[in-house]
Amino acid sequence: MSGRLRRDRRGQLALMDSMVFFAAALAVCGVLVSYARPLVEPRTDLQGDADPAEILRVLLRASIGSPVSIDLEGSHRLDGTEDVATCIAVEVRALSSGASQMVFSSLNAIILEMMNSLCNPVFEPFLIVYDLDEGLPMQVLKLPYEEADSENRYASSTEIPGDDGNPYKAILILSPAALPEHV
Amino acid sequence: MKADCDGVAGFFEDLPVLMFVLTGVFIVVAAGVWTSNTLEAQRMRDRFEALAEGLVNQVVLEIEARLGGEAFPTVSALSHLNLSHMAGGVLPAHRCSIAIIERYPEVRWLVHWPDETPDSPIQAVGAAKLLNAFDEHLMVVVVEVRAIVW
Repeated sequence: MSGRLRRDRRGQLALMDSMVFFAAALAVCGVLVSYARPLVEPRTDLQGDADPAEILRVLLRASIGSPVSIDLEGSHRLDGTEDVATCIAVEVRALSSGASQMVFSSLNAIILEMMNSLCNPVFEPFLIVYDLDEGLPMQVLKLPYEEADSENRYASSTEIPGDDGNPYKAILILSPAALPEHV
Repeated sequence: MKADCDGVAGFFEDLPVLMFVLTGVFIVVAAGVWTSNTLEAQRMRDRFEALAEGLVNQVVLEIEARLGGEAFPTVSALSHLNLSHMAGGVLPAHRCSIAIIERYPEVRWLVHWPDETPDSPIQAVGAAKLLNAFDEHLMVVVVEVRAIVW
């Protein structure tokens, strides 16, 4: 035994080949994992919950449930059996006539509570009502009065016949709610 | 026995080659197993989703046929529904659970089937539909028909 090892080109080639094979294996692994990874990420879609069209339909037909006083010219009182569509029709007609949205704060709080109770907590609901009577649809009511996330939104709309004969369009938007930050 | 320098050198020279090859094979096999398990779970989930939606649709159609008509069903009629007759034909009681829940103005269970459910199903998928109903004060409330399949 001489104690001296010879350089072996074939051995080096084998080592290079194995490294190439290892790199190819990593690439294949990356493709496989990237193909299946979206399936295991937390879902942010509407799976398992009612869709916005259904929520809007039952919301507009549901009674507001508790009596509300509205301080318009000649006090207006809703006894609680009125459905949400009727209440919204009253509100948008008054808002179109120049009334302040503050007058309807208690009614809006009830509608907001209803929307929140019907939606999955991972979504934040927004209700927007447009007046279709003008040349261009004009926004007359927005609950709550803040901007919705512009991405990943689900929405549905329906027409509400106003009590003054004007058509209104109600749009329900479900926007992913901001998750609380863990400290 | 004769000492073979080339043999000894070749053995140690081939060890890193062997390590690279074995690790590469292991990585590919592990990724393949994980991907196939994930896809299988997704297929199972899709099947459960379809079953849950079918179950909810069947119960809602039955409710509308029996109690609906032009007006809404009443909450008291919903609480006395026999859900086992409506849903028993779709899935056995140990594979699903159906509940009718009042969602607004208060949250309360109206009726559910079966009475007992297993402690912790491994994988469960749900579906839901909302309905309007009259309560005892003739207010229109919102109820939910929810099915969970596992």
